Amino acid sequence: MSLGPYASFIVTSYALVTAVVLALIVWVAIDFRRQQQRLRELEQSGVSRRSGRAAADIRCLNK
Amino acid sequence: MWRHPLADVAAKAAAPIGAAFTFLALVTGSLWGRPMWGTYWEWDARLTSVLILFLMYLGLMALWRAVEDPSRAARAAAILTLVGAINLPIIKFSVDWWNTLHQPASVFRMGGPTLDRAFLIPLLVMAVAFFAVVHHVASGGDAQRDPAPPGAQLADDASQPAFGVTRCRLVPMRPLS
Repeated sequence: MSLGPYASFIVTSYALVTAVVLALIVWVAIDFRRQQQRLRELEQSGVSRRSGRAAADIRCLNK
Repeated sequence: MWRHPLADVAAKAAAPIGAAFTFLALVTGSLWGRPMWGTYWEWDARLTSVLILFLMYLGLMALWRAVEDPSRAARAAAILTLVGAINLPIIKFSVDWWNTLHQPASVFRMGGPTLDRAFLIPLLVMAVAFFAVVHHVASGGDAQRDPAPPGAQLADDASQPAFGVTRCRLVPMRPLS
């Protein structure tokens, strides 16, 4: 397949976009794991999400 | 809507994605500019205003890392975002307000688009896909398929913040009425 006189632009652009989008996907996956780890640490320290309190009832002492 | 904590989280998460795609627009546009205009870069209004947008994204990302207290970082980032929003109409109308290398508006204009169908159709398809994803995320996305278990919400504790709860203790679960 001939890409014509703009082949270098097309190939370079596609390669660059592929690299950047792949880097974004990797970053999102790593950040997702990091946030999950942070959430686990918070929940282990007694802080919980309001939507996730099935396992225990939380009563605040300042009530 | 206003001062919602998720707005700060969304802005923080969106900044690197915005920066990445603005970077791609600048670099691929520059590569295309070489055969079309005979130069990789020109300090015209459109290129300069998009470069400012890119620098704003980098500034936002740096701000989140520079300020240790998340609530203060969120406030500073929100102010920078509002200031940066001034740049958006400047980017859009830069080709009309100033004499630039770029052609004038070619999609949203009186008399219909002048963009070739080979470019216009993929552009519109991607625009529809983008708004479909935004709608999917805004309406709860995957969370709707994985709802919180019954009894997870404490009716008498709705005023507590989602995080940052202090002086609380865990007690055994009791059935909720």
